[in-house]
Amino acid sequence: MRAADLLVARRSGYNFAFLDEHSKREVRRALLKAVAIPGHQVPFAPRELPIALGWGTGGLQITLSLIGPRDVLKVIDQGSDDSVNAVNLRRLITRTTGVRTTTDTRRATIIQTRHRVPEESLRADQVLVFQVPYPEPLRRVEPSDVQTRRMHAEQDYSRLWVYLYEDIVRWGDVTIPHRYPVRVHGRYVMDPSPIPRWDVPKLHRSPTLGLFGAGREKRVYAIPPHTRVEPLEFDDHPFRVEDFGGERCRRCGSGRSFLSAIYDRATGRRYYVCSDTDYCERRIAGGAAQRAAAP
Amino acid sequence: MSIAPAPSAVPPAADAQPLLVLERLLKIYGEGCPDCVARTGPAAGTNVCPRCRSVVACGDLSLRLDPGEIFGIVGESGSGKSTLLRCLYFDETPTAGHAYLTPYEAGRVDVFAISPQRRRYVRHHLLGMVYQHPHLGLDLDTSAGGNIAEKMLMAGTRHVGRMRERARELLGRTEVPLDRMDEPPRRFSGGMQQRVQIAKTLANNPPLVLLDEVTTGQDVSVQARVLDLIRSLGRSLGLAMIAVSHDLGVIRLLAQRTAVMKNGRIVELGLTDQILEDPQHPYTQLLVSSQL
Amino acid sequence: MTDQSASAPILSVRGLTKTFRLHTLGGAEIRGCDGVSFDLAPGRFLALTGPNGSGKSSVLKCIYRTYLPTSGEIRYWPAEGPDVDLARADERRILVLRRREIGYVTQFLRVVPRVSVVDVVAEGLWHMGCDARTGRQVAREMLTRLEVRPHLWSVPPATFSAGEQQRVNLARALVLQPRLLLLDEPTASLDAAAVAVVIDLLRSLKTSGTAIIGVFHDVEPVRPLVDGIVRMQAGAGAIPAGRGHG
Repeated sequence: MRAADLLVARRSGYNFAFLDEHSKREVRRALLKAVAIPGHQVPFAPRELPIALGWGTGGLQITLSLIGPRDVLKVIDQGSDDSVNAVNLRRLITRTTGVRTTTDTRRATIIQTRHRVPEESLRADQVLVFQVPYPEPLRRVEPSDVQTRRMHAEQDYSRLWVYLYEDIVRWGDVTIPHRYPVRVHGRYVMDPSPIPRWDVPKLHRSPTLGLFGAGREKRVYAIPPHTRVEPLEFDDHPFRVEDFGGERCRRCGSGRSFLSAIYDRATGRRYYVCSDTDYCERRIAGGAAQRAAAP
Repeated sequence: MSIAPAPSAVPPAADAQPLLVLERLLKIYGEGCPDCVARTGPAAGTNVCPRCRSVVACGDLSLRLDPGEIFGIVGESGSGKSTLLRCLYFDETPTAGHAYLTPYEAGRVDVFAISPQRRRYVRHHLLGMVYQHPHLGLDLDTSAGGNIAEKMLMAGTRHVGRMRERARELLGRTEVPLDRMDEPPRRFSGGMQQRVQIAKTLANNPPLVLLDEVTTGQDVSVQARVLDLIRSLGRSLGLAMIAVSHDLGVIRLLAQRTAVMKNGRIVELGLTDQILEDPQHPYTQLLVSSQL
Repeated sequence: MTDQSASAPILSVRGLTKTFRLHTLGGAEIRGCDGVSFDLAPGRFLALTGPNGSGKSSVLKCIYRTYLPTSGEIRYWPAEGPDVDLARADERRILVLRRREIGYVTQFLRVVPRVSVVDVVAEGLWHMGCDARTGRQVAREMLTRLEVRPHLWSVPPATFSAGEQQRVNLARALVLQPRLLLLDEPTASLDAAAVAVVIDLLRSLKTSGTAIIGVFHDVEPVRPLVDGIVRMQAGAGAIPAGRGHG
């Protein structure tokens, strides 16, 4: 750790990474169990934090428990490094740790995210930390925690399947837009957090450790590297990602990334841009460099 | 005289292995004490243990059921007959006792002693339950077809088209209009809900179906239709059934053998016509003579 | 009584006694039958006669196990396997014998409501493993033989005349070609022509080896078929009479 960073941390008046070392260790203990049982929700005892529940406290505590002085941090909210939530979380973490931050997905060692998986392929030396509002994939069909725990224990997922069946009967297809339930390592059904369907296939056999934290619901869970992650699908109704109907990003021209629709108030027209701003910026920069390099 | 070809394919049922063997089922609600069984029952006139106030819902019940047989259990409310069914369907955990189902591990494994996952398998593949109240067996807000699909999903089917085909077949058999397949049963009449429940029960072709007061509380015409349906299904699918009812009329119509229960005990077990025409136990005689 | 030169008995009744104990009436006892004994060989027809209340029907019901005998023995030799005491055999065993070997024509037709005549008659065949179509086909042939009018076949028999109901009742048992047939006043509500048809049917059953026990208030109409008579008296045991059934 650089002396200057330590100084930053000390000046905040808090322990390194805000939490005391015992609390961090308890979170890490829960995470170890979560990694050992892929997709299984492990209870943990959240600490008081200077941000409100529901604003990413689960993911934040995972990050704070794991981060070291040499880590390079990236925080995104719906793919953007600049949204209020991402900025505030990043500020809290850097003020209490002094770690370097980046917006470049490739340079980050810890990426904390809300509702997206970066478009850039991730590596084995990176950790992806998800902020999770509702960790229980069975909540859609069962309000009781006692029952959902029993259903997980007995692999009784038929009612979730019925939910998908009903969706298909009513609408002709599964209409779940995000939080699409996945089966991890052929065993536990898991809520992948409110990522779009687009991101679900990226979790499958990913070399990157995925950690999920739900502060309000007091649960963590994990997808270890190279783990099977399969969306629930029927033989005659396979899982499908979003289709943008051939639209491209208005800024970088990408046709192979998850796009956000934006309404132009002036014209009343709808256009699309990349949800992952870092990816988009880099494509634009790369395009400019190419143009500059061109004779 | 012209007679059908000799039905030599039918196995000699009494010599064959029974479908179900239930041994000494005990179900006590409460703490229980060593005196519970001895101090309750028809002789004591109660199923509440005078010493520890526990309720002996089923005291040492044993029975055997043959494949394809319809077995009746009759008795007043609180006699323990529904508890017996709920124990067999794993809705309740027995205090003691053993149950062996021939289709499960050739009847060598006590299904009361297997893991919850295995129990789920037995419950959804080998057993069916039709509850008195359709809301116990159906999700009234999931479509009729979805309810049937649920059973098949439990059995691992992952094909919407095939599940819908099977649902259509079963709803046809149980006389539910197919154009209502995608409606939630909450909008159906009680009789139709009951028929959807029966269709759902049959989804995985279980060899044994448990019927808990299936016609109680329904209009007479609806009762008749449901009973006719159960009879014809039993015959055409070769289902074995245990039918619990407080109504001797229902038992007479359905069952070949009948057990009479009182205060958590079987007081009499015999051929249904013998129970009705030559009842032995004082309670059975009272029951038969009280018939309308 | 037993003619040893005839084939071995199919049924041997010894000291059959039935007493009803009515708990609802303070434990009062009513005598059904008392000390009845007889043997029956395949292809033979035994008639039980006697006044009302002499226990004729009780004997049949004990053999069929609708009544639980109080004492005595009812030994039956099934088509396969060892002999069995019907008074004490396991109910599951009785059910198998009822389904395959022992038929019983009750005095009054009692059937499940709402079931058509054809299905009433075919039901036993279905229980024996016959498919639905064949069962109905055989049932129709039997109904034709018993001269039940075809336009009644698809109707439940509840509204039929006594004579027609009795024919349906007979058809239901005869269609199964039982090894042992129990008849309770089978001809009571039939006219002379119908009785002749029934006698004809019973004769062919006898020829094919069916052993028959019939309860008759008046044995005269079936006299030509009868091989032996057991005369019963009210309150007393059975007194064997007639020419025996050897």
